[in-house]
Amino acid sequence: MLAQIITLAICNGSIYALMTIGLTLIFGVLNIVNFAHGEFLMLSLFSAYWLTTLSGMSPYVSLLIVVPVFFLLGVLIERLLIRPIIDKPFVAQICSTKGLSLIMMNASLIAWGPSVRTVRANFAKSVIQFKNIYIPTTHIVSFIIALVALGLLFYLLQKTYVGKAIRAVSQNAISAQLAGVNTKQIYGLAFGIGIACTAGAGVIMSPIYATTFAIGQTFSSLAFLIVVFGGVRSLTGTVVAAFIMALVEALASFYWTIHIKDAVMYAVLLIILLVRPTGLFGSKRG
Amino acid sequence: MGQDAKKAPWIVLFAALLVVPLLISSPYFQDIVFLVYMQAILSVAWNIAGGFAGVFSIGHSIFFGVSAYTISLMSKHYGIPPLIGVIIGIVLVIAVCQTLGRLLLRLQDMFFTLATSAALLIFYHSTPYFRNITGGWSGVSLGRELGIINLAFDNPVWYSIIGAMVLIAVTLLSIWIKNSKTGYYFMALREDEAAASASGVNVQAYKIRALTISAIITAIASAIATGHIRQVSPDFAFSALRSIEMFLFTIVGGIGTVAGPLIGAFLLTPISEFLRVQFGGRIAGLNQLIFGVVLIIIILRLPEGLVSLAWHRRRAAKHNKYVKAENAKINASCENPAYKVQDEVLEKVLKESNMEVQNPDDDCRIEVTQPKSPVQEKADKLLCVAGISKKFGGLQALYDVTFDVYNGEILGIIGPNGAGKSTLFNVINGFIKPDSGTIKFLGSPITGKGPHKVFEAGIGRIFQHLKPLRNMTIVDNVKVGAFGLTSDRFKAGRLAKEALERVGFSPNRYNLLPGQINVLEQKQLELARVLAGDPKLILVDEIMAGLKPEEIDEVVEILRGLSSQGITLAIIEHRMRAVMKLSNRIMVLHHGRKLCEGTPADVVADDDVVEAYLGVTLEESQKAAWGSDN
Repeated sequence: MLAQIITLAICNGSIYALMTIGLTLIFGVLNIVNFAHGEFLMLSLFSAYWLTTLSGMSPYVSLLIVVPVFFLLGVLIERLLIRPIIDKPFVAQICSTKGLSLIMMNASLIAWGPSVRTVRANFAKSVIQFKNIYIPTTHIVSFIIALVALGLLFYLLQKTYVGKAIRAVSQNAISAQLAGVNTKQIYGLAFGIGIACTAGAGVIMSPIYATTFAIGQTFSSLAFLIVVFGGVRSLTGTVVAAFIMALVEALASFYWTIHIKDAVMYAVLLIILLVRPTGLFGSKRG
Repeated sequence: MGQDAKKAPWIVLFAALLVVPLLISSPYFQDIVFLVYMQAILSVAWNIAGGFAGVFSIGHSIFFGVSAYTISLMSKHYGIPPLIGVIIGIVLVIAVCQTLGRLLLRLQDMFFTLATSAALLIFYHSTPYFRNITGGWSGVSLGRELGIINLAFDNPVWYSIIGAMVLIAVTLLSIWIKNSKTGYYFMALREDEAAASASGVNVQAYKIRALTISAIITAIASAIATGHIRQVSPDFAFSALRSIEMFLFTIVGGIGTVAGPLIGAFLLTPISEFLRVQFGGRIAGLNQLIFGVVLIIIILRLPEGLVSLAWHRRRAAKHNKYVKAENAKINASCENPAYKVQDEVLEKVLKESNMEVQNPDDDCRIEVTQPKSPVQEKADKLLCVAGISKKFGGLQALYDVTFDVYNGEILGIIGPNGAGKSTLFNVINGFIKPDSGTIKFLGSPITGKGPHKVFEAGIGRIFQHLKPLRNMTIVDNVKVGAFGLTSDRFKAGRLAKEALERVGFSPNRYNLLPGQINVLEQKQLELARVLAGDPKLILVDEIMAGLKPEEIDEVVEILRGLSSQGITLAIIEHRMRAVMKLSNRIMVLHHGRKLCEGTPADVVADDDVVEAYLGVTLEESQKAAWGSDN
């Protein structure tokens, strides 16, 4: 039974990692906390829902449409709403992204109502058995896709010119600019990539989680928790924290009850912050 | 001046707040009036933490909910009357606030904000979990017996009247805080935490204080609302929307101002209520969507809120007046001896520039006057620094640095870039804890004490990168320092003006903002802020950087003046001529170690020093060294 729980938690961890890494990337590069992060996730869940319902395609195929579209959406939103508030006091940043979050959430409520929707993948009910561990096929597929996506992201950041430019801007925007990096372009790209990752996570979550207009709030707070736990600017920290939090969540639900799992996860976060105020992989930066 | 004129609109407003509920007979409109008052109280409460002190919480509903649940649960389970429950609720809210504050304020400001919203979700989700006690999602209801002890009135007008009285009280409190030492400390730490703590503000304690004041007011508002609604559920008590409205209304009205939250709440609550009633059934969420749009428009187009519309007009008028006065002065300047002197200086500079053209940045103007006072033989030690070491990762920033600062002297601290000079100041100042070593000031140890304690002990600090409090006027900046000595705001104002006079800051520019004054004045401002706290020792970090030669003259004169008034100075400086002329003694740091210490003449002749600066020994470099220096 425990092996079963841990295996599922690892699958969830990979999804959480992909879901959160965009938030870390955007904060690291643009120095902005995106309060609308969960709403982008919600919107991608709805996109997957409508694509599968209306065209009958598999949610995993809809990745090919949703991810590029959300990348462009991210670039557009950065240009319109985020760029004016970069370098502004953080009150402005909170208001701008929180405002965006309110608009997206309530637009979704107005457009699609409060009802709960689920995406049906064609193998939704199939289960893979390994000894006495049963894992839904959707979890396995999502796990693999999440790992591939994370791998691609890390490859992009480590090995390509664009990735190096993004990392340079996150280290020091002015020096990067002096070295010939177009920081404005990088801000747009980083925001777009961050949103694209989130959208990817949304799509692979869609066969597993029910979709409502308010789901963004739930996952926002989970994502924030993971980011802070991992040490706000560290991508590796985010991935590690995502797996730890998924484990904590699973064990708390298993040994206690599912209603109290959030409180347990926050308690774990608080303990870490008491020991390391900057999170697991965090370092102070002025 | 004009105090009565300032008071009049408030008195009118307060009277209106009390009278309006009495004039309304429709229960529906009475409810709206009540709602407006509640939102106004909550926004004022939020503004004290979020606006004044920059403690930006979006989880204020926690305090609202804890109070509401305490009142209803105490009444239900223990039969404690709600009015007593209010007091228990406030005590609990203070406890929650202290705990949350201590835990969450360790986080960077943005992540503090996130954490507050996360904490709210914990309360929201875990309350219904304890169904037996809290009644699950439907919540707890309060009894219906009338009487103030039960917070129950048959006529709803009473709720509005009580709301009005509380609103008046918290508005007065908000005005009082804004003008008091507490308020100045709140604003100082909001503007710049390092500058605030170096000016005597215990940043962490004042942040928690701001949060606590704000939470108590929230708890009181919650008590009135609970008495009115008589049914406490998680959706009522721990509402995320209420937390958002609290800061939304404040920001729309004008964050950090007294009137802003009132304007925001008075304007937006009725609109929000109207939208909810009109479209709530058919288009749920429309009011929140519109909030989102309003929030973005305000923050992009009018970041200081609606209040600033009124300011802009007043500021523009003031500015025009100021420009006129300046122009008049310039016209009269032919007669002004100060300008004549400036002209002479200009001529002199032009003349000399022919000779010294090879080194235009040289501080040749320091040649001036005054033999330096010799170090008193029996001078007592003011500051004793013994064996200070500090490592940053693999870098040994300071290694076993030992020196004394004598009472009344000017100690120059020089050394190449990266020698550890500023780190040394940061250690003395309490920003960085040393790995080993002790620091004694006036005989008592200050090692490892926070910057505000060090300031209280009598050590001021001028930062290399100036840290003005940008949204506060010059005189208000200096008052922050003065509040270290007194809690009386009038006395602090006097001390601030005295300090500004001592550094020669021109009195007609006291009410400008730091962004509107020149570099020399900004340095004078930093000096004045420190001076206002009456320090015995000032640590001055590269105050001459970025100044023109004649401005350096001025700063040298100011520093000499302070020294002659008995203030001890330790100055880090790269402008060699200035520091050599100014200092009684010089200490040289190199690679984190003390290289030598002595009179300026000794230090210049020291082989190690020359080698540290030039890479070669004195003999090898004699020509070059003296050639460029004389």
